Amino acid sequence: MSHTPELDEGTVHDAAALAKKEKTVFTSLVVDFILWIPDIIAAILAGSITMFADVVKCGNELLATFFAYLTIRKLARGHGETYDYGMGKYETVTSIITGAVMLISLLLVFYTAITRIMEPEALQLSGVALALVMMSIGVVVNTWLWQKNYRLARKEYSPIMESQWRLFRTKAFSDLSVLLALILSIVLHHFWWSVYIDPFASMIIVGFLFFTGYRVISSSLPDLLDKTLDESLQIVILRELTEFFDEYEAFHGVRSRRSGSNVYIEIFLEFDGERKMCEVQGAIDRMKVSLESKITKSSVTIVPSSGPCRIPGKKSDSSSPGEENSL
Amino acid sequence: MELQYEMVQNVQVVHVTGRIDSATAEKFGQDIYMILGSGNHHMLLDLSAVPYINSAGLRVLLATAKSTKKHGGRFALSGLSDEVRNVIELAGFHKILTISPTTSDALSHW
Repeated sequence: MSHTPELDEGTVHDAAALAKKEKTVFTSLVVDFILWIPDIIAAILAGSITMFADVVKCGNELLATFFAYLTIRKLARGHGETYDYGMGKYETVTSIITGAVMLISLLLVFYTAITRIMEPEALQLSGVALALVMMSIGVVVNTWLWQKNYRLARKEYSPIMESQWRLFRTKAFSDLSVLLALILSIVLHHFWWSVYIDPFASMIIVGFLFFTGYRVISSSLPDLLDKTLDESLQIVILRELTEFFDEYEAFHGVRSRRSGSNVYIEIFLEFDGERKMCEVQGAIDRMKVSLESKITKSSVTIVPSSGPCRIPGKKSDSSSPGEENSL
Repeated sequence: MELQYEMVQNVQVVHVTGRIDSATAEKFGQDIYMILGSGNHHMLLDLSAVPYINSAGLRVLLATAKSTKKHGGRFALSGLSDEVRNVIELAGFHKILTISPTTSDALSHW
């Protein structure tokens, strides 16, 4: 007699998707670490401020990727008993940390570059050769990881995969910037101003870090604060409510939020008091199944209600403008 | 966002001016419900001076549609701009509400 637990199609799909995410992030982590060590050596030998900034940035990114890996690993192992609402918030928190790390790196790179501009130094040509090789490898590998993570993120929305592909895009472009800066510093070394190419080029990395860090934080923070779903999904919810217009007596509002890749929707409806409970339950089930099929990874709760939902400390719910009783 | 209303042929004709978005939807809802509070549940909403409506505004319309229906009244819209019509149709409201090009058209078929 088999004791293998039965898994529905959705569960199997989720497990496979998580396993693939885990593998992808782990690959990124290993490749990043392998590339980081010679980067440190090259930065020390070349004395390049751009290389040094890149090393610091990569170190922070490595930490962020490691954190993302731990979160996905936790998700893949399953913690259903401990977290009834899933671990979506873990994903969101990880993304915010990734963004914060980028912004901290930005400050560090900026400070180091300003210091070098005020006290310029020529690059050590012996170390630049190794740096050129490392940066060339970095451009190729990070472009590959960027594309790989991007394809995964497009298949299914996930804050971690979103932040990962943006991270590798930033790395690919910043490695390219460092590479070009080093080449220009060597080619133009006979000009007095060539000593400024290196620190000024590091400002490009500052720009990349700012743009990506801001983007990651601004997209994750609203989810962490339980911001309502965006307009396109609100319209989908309303379309469902119009489809089932005759099934309920009054509409008292909608409450929604995103948690990681999961979407939670609560709809407050009043039903005819003369209807049997089984009929009301049937209507609720039909609405729930229909809406969940239209919004990926959504969990819909229809709440039979005689008035708008109230949030403690909130003045009123804009989605339910007035008490039905007051009409 | 401002509301003005008048009684025409026993229908509450409400003229709305301005955007109906997350910032104004709450007041919009309160004003609509105050007008319905008079006991007449036949309402025509003239949206000819409304350049934009979002989901928060649509939720008010949905709640109003249910309320008027529950009390044996009728709720209709008129004078929709292209943008407002587009949102209304995306949300499927054209299936549950009567929509007329102008207020006079709507009243002539009331």
